[in-house]
Amino acid sequence: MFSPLIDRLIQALKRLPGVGPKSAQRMAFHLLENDRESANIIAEALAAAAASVNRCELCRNLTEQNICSICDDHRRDKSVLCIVENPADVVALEQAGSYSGLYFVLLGRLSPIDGIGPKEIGVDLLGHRFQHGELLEVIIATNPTAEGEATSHYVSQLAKRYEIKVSRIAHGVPLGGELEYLDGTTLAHALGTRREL
Amino acid sequence: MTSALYEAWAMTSDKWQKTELAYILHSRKYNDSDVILELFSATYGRVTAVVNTSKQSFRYEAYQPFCPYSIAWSGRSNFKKIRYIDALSQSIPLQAQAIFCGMYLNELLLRLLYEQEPQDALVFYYQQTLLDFASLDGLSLGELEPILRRFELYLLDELGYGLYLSDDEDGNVLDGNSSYQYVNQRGLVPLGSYLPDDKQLIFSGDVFKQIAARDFSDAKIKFAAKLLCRKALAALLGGKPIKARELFKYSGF
Ligand SMILES: [Zn+2]
Repeated sequence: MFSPLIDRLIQALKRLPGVGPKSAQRMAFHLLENDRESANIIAEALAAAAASVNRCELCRNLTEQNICSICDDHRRDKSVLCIVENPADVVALEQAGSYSGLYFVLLGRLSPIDGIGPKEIGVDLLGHRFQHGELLEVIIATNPTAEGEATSHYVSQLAKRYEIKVSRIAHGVPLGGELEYLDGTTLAHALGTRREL
Repeated sequence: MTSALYEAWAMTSDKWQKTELAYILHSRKYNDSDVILELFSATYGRVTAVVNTSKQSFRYEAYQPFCPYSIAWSGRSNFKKIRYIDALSQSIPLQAQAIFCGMYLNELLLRLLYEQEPQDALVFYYQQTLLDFASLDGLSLGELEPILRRFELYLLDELGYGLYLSDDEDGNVLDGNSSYQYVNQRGLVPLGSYLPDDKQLIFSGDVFKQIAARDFSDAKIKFAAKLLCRKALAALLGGKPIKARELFKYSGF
């Protein structure tokens, strides 16, 4: 139905998350019919990023430098390390704007059945940071899933070996949320991690 | 109920199981809308099923292990389609190393359970084991280990590979003071009559008797039981060890 090059483009676009055959076709036709300039911009940006973006040597976040701009920023507090699952979590925390320490990106979470153990989430590199860094505090910001909790406990055990203070971000009632609409597990978690006033 | 209606119902119910208790051993995203669930259910044992999250308005994170679900599925193949899924309660709250223990259990079950073979008793034993884990703060592996050992021994029994620890391989009652060696597929062999290939598994009759009675109060018995279970399970797992054991690196597992 499509010529080989158009078919190849549609197949390529379909690899993106959230893009099915219909939207891939729509995107392909849009770029080829109406917007050649964007097509070239996307192609060049994609090729350059795929060729040059790697992992930061200190925090494993995505960057084309050896050390990312956050790790390299002298104004940031080097005594605090926030541990997250994914690069997107760093973006979310940076947008919140209230954290000025450094990050470590696990690029996943402990999931033994999927073959993801401590080594696969970069625990060796993290242990090195704990041992040789100037860290005083570690904040664990993994997700409140069973795997996220397991990851949190494993990392906290590791940090405590180096006598670093460990805390876990709170999970519970969202701001502006109403109790009656919360699910039981979230509510139980919020109760379990209540704080004294 | 008219007979026509009944027939229609019977036809549907043949393909569409009524709801039943199941635990999620593992879930993984298949694509944007579908999540594949590895289930451990009472009447059908291990079942693989796919759930369409866009239809059920469930997030991927909503499918958690250690939580009892009421589930109905359809399909005759080994790959079922979830028709209904609802959590019966909150997740059993495992803390600290108890989560590692729970993950270890799930991986063990995923590797060893036969697909679609009834496991009523085992599901309830599994549930009780999780509740026992949850009753502890999870900080001491020493407290969790006896619960883990009882589960492993129970699982071996249910799979048909139970350990016979009350008699030796010839059916003689154990002598508490004599030494025996545990040999896979044979059982307890009096020392001297077997060329030991695994010196670790030589203990006195008393040690084996206490393991048979599930009494792990003594540290020596606890250690012996760990080696014994590991040996018996390794024979079923083949060359690939349980990955979840790596989680216990700082716990001395
Ligand atoms: Zn960095």
